[in-house]
Amino acid sequence: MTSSIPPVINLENICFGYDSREILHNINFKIEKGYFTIIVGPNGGGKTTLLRLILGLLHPQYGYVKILDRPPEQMRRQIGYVPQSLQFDKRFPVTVLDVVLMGRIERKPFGFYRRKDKEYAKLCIEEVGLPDKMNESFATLSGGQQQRVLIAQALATQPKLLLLDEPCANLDTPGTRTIYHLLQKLNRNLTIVMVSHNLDIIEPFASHIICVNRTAQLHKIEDISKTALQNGDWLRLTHKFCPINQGDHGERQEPHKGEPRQDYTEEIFHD
Amino acid sequence: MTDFFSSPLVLRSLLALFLISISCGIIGSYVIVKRCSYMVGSISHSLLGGIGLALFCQQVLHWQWFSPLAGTLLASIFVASLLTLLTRRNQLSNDVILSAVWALGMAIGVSFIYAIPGYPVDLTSYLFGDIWLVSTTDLWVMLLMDIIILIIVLLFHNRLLYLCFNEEGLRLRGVKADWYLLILHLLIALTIVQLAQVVGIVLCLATLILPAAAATTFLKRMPSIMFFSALICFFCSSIGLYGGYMWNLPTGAFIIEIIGGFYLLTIPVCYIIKRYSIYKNKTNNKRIRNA
Repeated sequence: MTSSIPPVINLENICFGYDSREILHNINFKIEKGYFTIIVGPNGGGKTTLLRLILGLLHPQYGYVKILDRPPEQMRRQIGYVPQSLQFDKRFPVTVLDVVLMGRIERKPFGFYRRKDKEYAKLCIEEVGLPDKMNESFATLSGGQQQRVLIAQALATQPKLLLLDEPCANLDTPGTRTIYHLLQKLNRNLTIVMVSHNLDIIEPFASHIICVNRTAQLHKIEDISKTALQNGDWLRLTHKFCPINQGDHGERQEPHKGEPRQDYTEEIFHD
Repeated sequence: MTDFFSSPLVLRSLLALFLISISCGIIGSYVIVKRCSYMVGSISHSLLGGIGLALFCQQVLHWQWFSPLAGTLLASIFVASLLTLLTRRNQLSNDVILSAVWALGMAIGVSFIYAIPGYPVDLTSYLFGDIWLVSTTDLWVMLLMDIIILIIVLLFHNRLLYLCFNEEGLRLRGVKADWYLLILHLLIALTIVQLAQVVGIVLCLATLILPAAAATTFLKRMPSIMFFSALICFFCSSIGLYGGYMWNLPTGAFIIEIIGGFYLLTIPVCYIIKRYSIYKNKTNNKRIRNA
């Protein structure tokens, strides 16, 4: 990467905690354009917190998050976020097209969607392979199809960065594979960061891995011993400096780097 | 029957029902998909505080312009804004806040009413409504509110729908979700003010929610749900009005009974339709297999 292109995600000396309990400590990494990065780590290790910091929903106590060299609150329109399909009301009365169109919501403050938006949304639905489900109710789709619709919604925003929160949490292996093949295809134009549990399936597709357990480390996928991955058991990853292997016990705590942030920035909108 | 339709009182009441059905159908659908019926209950019951304040100001301070309608309008806007501020982003436990506002509003209303010297005010018409008391001015106010609601919904429907679907998602698109939450709550408040005239502040919860709930059981898109819940609301409340007129029943209560009955009827009907379609599918599959 040349120095003229800023990293898509840049975390510098991030520390974050709720009240007195610290969840993430001294995190530094840069995600460049075109990476397909997976965030792994034990439950309660801070995966979701890290994702929410990148989204700008949480603010770090120390350090800075930069998305393409700017604060995440200002870059929200460049980020396509795919939430878990589990969290939605299963009987919500919308069609697939309605859900995907929601990805274009910020483009028009008043009134109905334009034809241009509808056409782009249809393209996105075709991209995820559900053109025949366009006018079906979102509620009647299977879990995997709902997840693909949510990916289409994120694509409709025309993002530079795609963030996914455990997109395959409730899917079987074939469903998971479909999603990963789709993501691999999208990775040609997009930087992708996703939280995942089953590393064994995702491993052929990814370029980098972030191990999170109170602190975080970015690894290249080649640096990881592949034999340890056979059962998808990421806890036995055998590579140097992995926070997952170090565990919490008897660890010497490094002091916080940099000054604590007092300016908890108000959310900036440019509506 | 001819007697029923020739009475100008009945025509005025029917017109009132038509006007509230429009806002009820639209806003009730949002309430159902957002699942915030408890919010409706909290706003509507706390309107008694506004009514009490208005009556107190009218009779003790002699502010004749401060009618109960103005009181409910003021209280509804205040309560909706307060609840938006307190319940946004789930910072505090929402059910406790809603219950507290619910009870506090009613308590304040009762206190004001008992502070009025002389005869105690009869609260029945405020609590349970009296459609026969709706005046021509009230009709104009209702029409104005309908127009406001329609314009706002036409302008912001997409964002309100996204808000109901995924509030955090809307925030992540860089849209000020809290403002749209406030708009939604103000629309709910405006609808409740309208309904309070006809069915009273206690019963308006059912009028707002049940037609939309009935419509959601068999419809799959927001615009059709809104249209049909408005239709159901008008149909059921007209029957209620007719019954109330013919058999001299309390109209507000009878309207609620008809709407409630209609909603309860949709549950078994929906179940039977579902079973029938499963049965039909099965026999169809068998036929295909045999062929």
